[in-house]
Amino acid sequence: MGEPEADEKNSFICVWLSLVTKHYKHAGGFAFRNREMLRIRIFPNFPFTVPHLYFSHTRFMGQPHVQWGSHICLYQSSETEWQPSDGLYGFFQRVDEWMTAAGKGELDPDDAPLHPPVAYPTSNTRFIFNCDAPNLEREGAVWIGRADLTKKRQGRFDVVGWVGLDDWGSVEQPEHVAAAILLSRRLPMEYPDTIDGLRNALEKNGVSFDLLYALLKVFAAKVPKDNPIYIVVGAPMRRKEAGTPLRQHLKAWEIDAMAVNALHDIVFGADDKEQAYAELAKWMITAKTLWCRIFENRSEVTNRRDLGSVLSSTEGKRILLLGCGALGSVVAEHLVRAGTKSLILVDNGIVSPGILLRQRYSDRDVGFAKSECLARSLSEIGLPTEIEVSFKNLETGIIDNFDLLHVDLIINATASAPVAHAIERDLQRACLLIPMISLSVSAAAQCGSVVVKMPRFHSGIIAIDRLTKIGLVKNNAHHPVVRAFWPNKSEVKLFQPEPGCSKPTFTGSSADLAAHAAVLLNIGLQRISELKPDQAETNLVPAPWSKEGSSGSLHLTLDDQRKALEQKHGYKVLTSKVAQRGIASEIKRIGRTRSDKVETGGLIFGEIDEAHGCIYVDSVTGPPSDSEASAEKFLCGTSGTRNIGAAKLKQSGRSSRFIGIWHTHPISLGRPSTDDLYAMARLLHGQERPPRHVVMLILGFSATDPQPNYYLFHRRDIRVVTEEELRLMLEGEVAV
Amino acid sequence: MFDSRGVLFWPVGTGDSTTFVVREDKIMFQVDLRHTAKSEDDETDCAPIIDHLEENLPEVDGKPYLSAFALTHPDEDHILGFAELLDRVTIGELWFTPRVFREHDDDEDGMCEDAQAFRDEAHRRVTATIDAGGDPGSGDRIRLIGYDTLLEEEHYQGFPEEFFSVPGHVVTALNGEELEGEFRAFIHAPFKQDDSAGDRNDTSLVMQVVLGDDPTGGGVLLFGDHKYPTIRQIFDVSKENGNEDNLKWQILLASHHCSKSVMYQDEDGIEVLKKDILDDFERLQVGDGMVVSSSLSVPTSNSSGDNPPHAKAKARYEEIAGGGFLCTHDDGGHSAPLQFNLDAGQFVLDDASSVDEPHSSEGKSALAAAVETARGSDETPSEKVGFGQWS
Repeated sequence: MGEPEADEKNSFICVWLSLVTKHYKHAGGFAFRNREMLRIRIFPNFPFTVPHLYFSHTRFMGQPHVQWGSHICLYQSSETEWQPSDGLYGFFQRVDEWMTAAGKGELDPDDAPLHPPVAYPTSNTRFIFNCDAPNLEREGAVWIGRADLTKKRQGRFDVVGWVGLDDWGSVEQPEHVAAAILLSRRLPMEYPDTIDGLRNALEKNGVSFDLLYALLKVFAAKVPKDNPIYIVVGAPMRRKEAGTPLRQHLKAWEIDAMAVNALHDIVFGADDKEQAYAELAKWMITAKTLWCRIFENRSEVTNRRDLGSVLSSTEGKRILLLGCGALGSVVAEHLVRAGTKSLILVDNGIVSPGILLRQRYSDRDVGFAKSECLARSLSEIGLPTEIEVSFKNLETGIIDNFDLLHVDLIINATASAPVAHAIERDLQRACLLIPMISLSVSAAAQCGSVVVKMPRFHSGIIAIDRLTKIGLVKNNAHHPVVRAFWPNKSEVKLFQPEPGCSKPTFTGSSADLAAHAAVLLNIGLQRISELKPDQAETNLVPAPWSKEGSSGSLHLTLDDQRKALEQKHGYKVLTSKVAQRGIASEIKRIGRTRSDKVETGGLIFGEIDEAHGCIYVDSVTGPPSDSEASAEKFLCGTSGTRNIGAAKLKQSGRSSRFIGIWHTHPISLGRPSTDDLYAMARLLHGQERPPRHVVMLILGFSATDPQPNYYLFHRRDIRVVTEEELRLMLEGEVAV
Repeated sequence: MFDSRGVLFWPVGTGDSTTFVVREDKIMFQVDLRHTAKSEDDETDCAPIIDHLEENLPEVDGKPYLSAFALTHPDEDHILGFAELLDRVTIGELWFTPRVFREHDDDEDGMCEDAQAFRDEAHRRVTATIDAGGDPGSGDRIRLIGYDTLLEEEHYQGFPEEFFSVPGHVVTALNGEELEGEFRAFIHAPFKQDDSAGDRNDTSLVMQVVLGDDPTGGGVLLFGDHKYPTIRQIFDVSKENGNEDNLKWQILLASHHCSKSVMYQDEDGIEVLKKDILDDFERLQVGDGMVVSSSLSVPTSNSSGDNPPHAKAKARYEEIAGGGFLCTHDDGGHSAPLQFNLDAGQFVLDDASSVDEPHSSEGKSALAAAVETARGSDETPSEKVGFGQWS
């Protein structure tokens, strides 16, 4: 090792190292001399900057991991591989490893990604390769064609398509095109820096000078004088992953305007053709290759940076996004960046100045439709998601408004009760066989909620919310997250941004909403991958920075409920498993303690939702202690039922209440008997404070095969008449 | 031993003895000689070169016959044993460079006996040649190597020009026989006195020997004991005169027995690496050139003031020589020369004359071992250590 020498500007010190190579030399590897002199540059802020290492010569120019002729590419990613605390110990260990691999010719082994070759940019033009290159079918073949370009701005072209020579005429040609030469054999690791060198390399690989010349003339004729043309040159020198086939390493060669002008003169027969030939020949022999700066974006050679993330599950999906507000506008951006195939943005709101402080809009958008403004800003990201906008009023539902056959996922970011009700109505009449995620935040954005409905869970957000509340409040009534979403009425304060004349909304900053949107979206997508097709789940997540943050999140997974049709009014009846189990165990009990021929029954707790025509049966009791039961009759007692009803109401946050009575017909049909109807009349009309409707559940043939039959009686369904009125009715003189 | 065209470098300690086989078993050209009494003892690995020559040279008139002998300069490590050689072997032609004896003109005692014997023999032959007015015949022939004004000097007036060469000349004849196509020596040095760039060693004869007629294919470069300044000058002059092909080499005999003075110079008390000369050597190497050090084993390191061979010089040569670095005492067989046979214009090391090294890929590399040592161990102490109170 030599003495350190400082460079003239004191920007580094240089140390020469003479390395004995006996240990590294093998057939097939780098042809090391017995010693190799290496030059190490150590920078002033060592060890926080990695020293640079060079050979003292350029004999290994073109070999893998040797750049600029002598620079040794020691680290694939020095940011992660270089450890300052290990300093020169680690550096020399890496030198040893590198030399060992180089000596064995294993710097780019077949079972690892290839280090791509380099062509040092000498043109200011940028090329972005967005689509995979054509595959060459056989060794020795050459693919000649054109690369279709989109000119994004002066000096930037995106390659958006490839057209082979055979299809040249049949595929429409865009305004900007480049010639393309793709080889099936490798070029040197450093692409030739002279046109003469490149021409030779192409010729060796089957591209004759005549062919190259013809291409130059054809493409020069396509552009006006004083403009450059481009040739995309590719060779199979890339591999993304171990064991995968080689892919094209692409570079764009700029033919400068001077040469294009000469070609023009030759093609279009200028007066001084000889001069044009001379200029072109001079250019061919003496000019340096102008290599454009390349940005790779082909999936065949690049790995997505979000690989393996939860969000990446939306890649290629078609998503219907309801709501483009505080949550929706953030979610939309995430989806586009994740590679969603298509996105329908639905929102009929317009951008107002007040939302700029927390939604992804800008002043130029004020007064315009949110969905359109969001679509525009998303398209400016430049990723290929197809974006469609819709102004449909979601309060009319989604089934009739959208072609859901072409949607893979619905995300409801409206946090709107009317929209949730509309979807619930949709679900009353049809199944929605795609998963749905619904996001919302609490009043002060201190907590977020994400509801996931899997395709075969038959209820919508309204029902899931209700069941979640019942499920969580019972044991977590004072949990801050529960309090945030289901506060006591006295705690509710409506927030109106423009008091008196605007929809109430929540308070929260752009940071709050961005964080919630990302977290809730990720949780929702994760749950979709985990839940069964007939489940639903709600996750309530406090913001880590809020006072609720330390309380932890809550979640509840719901299984699909037994669905039945009420027989008088056609209500949908959803019976929980708890209720089903309660009934079954009482039937068993009565059979065991008395006889399976003896009727039994009890109270039903739940909710009758007249808006949606839905009856929720949450739980049941057995017969109250003062009940009487025989083979002919079940007399439902009242002892203790008030207390039970009050407890149920409290435990469910006032969502589950007394809604009716169940009983069995052990050996007969589950149809209402005269006694049953009389009982309904008594309930609806014979009490001091009667309910307005009562559910009667009769389990027919309960001794053998219990069949539930639900009947809903509204108070108006039973009229109390005098004997006279009854007589007249029977005689047909009074309408029934 | 001389049945294949090529070149042999003899293990003669730190000194030069090089034999060119110009025509198999017929025409041998010896450059320098170091035959020590010690080499006659089988216990050493020095080759008794005169014995080998006597035994293997062709016989003419019942006596071993050496076609020509060239002396680069009359230091003992290049001429030792010449008197004995002259006695035991007939030498057809001597290559004599008066310039290298000039400094001894006033100091006869400073010259070893063998150098004196060489000079006396050379003078005898010069006189015989002048007297003959042309070719004096085998055994009396001499090739004078010098500069243009040499023949104007008193001793050399009337010397025939056909036996006279100056730097820049090509010699294709040995001992009166034209060998064009078989032998070609390009004379690079010594320069004139005024042009000399250094001390006595810098007056050595320097030549490229090609066993053929094309210097571009690379030959054997012999630099005597030259140091950086003269070698630099030789490269510069050759470039200036369009003679760089005559510096192309397949085998480079490391100047001054692998001295670091070839590529290091003292500048204001600091030893500075002259990479330019290494770059030039590397640039003019043909194929995988080999550097030969005619010396005892090169140590792994030297102390200041050590005589050659120098470890630093070996390291630098190893960095440029595609075919590697060979030492007459390390890489040849016991007391056997490093023998390079000519095969289709390429000098190829005779397998029998080289020593196979054990396979190199076993264990750790020197660098890995150095890193491990430098890092140190994290094991707990292996021995008890005691501690006491401060008093």
